[in-house]
Amino acid sequence: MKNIFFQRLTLVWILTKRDYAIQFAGTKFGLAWMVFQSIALISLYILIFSILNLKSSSNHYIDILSGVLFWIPIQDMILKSSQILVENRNIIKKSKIGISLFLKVPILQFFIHLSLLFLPCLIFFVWLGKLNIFLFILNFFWMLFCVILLYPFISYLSQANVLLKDISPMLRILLQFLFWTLPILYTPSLAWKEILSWNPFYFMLEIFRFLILKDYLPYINWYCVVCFILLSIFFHTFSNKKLTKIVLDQL
Amino acid sequence: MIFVKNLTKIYKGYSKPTKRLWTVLSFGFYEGDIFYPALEDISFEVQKGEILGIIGRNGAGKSTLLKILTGVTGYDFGTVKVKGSLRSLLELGVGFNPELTGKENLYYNGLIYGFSPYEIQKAEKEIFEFASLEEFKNVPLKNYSSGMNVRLGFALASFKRPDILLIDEALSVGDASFQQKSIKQIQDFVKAGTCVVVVSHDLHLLSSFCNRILVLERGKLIIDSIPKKALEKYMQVLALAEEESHTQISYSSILEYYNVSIFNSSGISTTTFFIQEQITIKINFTLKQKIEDLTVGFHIEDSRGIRVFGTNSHILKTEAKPTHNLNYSCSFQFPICFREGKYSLSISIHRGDSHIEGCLLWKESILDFEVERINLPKFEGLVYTPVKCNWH
Repeated sequence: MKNIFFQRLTLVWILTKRDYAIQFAGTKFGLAWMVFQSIALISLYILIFSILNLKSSSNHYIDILSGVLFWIPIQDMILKSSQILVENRNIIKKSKIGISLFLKVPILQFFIHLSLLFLPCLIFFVWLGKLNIFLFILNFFWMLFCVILLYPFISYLSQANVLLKDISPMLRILLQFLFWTLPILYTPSLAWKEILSWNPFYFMLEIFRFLILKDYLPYINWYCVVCFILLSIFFHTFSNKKLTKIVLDQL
Repeated sequence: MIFVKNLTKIYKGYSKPTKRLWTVLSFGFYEGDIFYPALEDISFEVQKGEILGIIGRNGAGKSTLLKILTGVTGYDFGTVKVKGSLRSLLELGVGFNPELTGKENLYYNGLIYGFSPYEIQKAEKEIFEFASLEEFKNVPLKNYSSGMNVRLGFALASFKRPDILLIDEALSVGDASFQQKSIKQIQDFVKAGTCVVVVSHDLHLLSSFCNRILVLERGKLIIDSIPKKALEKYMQVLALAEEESHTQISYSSILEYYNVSIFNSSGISTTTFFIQEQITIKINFTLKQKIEDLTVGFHIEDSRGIRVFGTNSHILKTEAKPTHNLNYSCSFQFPICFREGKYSLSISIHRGDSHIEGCLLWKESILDFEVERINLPKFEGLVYTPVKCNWH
């Protein structure tokens, strides 16, 4: 049992490395670009926000940066997941790896991206004295929990994308909607908070900020949390067996 | 090692895009509105060291069967048991990426096949040598020819012996010397106890390579037998299928009478001949109506079902002329240069250059005969040709 788990984990790691190798094939620096891209992107944000933050005494830019840190890897993971089965249809159809291992690739990539983005942000938050040094490390466990909650939806969407090509463009619009209904670039009023907190990513973001930022008070809609957990269990129960069998035939 | 009983697989499809949407919204509980049985009630077994061939027309269910054995796709009814390590060559080079180099592809795909990084590193030189691609190791696959691509795929997939090897049309890759090398590699595996299931349309390969052959037609198992019998059945299936497709005319009903004889060089009808003897195959037949572009053909198979020789009047550019009304008589004369052994003669009467179009008659093993060697030196191979040897 333990052996099988490690074999599967190794295979996910290999598939992830292969995916990166394909993305950066033919480049002189190869995988180093992936590391550089992520660090450069977040460093650019930090540079701009540190200049702006010096002129402002509010925590607004800190909130934006923590929001971006949360959203970029999640968005990449969801978009990648929707494509992963279609991109690798040949290998899935002709080898016995199966669908579920491929669905874990964007998740592993999510944690790699998150780690790469996390490091420069931590340094910045420490410099500003805003880092919650007691709890920030728990964020990886929190994100792991979020990914576990999101996995049934990711699995469903990626399989749906095999059957319906409309899923991919629809998902981009949906992600835009979810992004703009999250308090990343703005601070909503209390009335708006009540409405926006029904966005399932809202409570994830709020707890993420609570764990990384000092003195951050999260606003959590517990009804939404319970509903989302129940929905996740529902999707996990119903979308796996039957849909996977059909998708394998339709790939 | 492989046990399949009453296996049934039904593919589901959709008549409209909205039906697909229903499948997505219902989490797959609505499976579609078109049902196509890809495999129906298939049963067979393959034991250690056995080579099983599978043949059938396109859409017969061959690849679906291999996918089920591999575990790539599921099935609806029946039992499938596979015992031992399994490797499937369903498509050579699958998973290879054109942007990655041969070495990178070897590494990633080797790991996907289940080899350890150490095993791949150790076997890297051997794999590239087997594929004759040592100097292309660091070249991206997009610069490989299709032959090089599949050679690398085969070399990777076959460098370590599995208990069960499934091959889908993957033995006809590369040039003749690579094909021989691949077949030898598989034969070595078989000697060591691997059981092989091979899907191919190459009749010669199947008859010379397999112990048993399954013939599939429209998802059903038509015959599970020794190569000779199975391939005869397959040829009948092809002929029948063509007849079905020509709905306006039933060609087989046009033929009223036929008979076949073989004569030796003295003009005597017999079933024993000597190597290099001139023989005559004579086919007499009567039709009910005149047929354009009429062709008479024959082929000869040895006791293992390997087709030794065959030709027809169309290839030989002779026009069919009736001897009287609609009676025809066609003869073929040639020296019988086959090695000693037992042979069978099969004949066909059809339109055009092959029996695939408008078949009036397809008769496998209509006559059996023997070839004997007298006053000739021993020789190797399937055919005899006089050879002079000089020392200078």
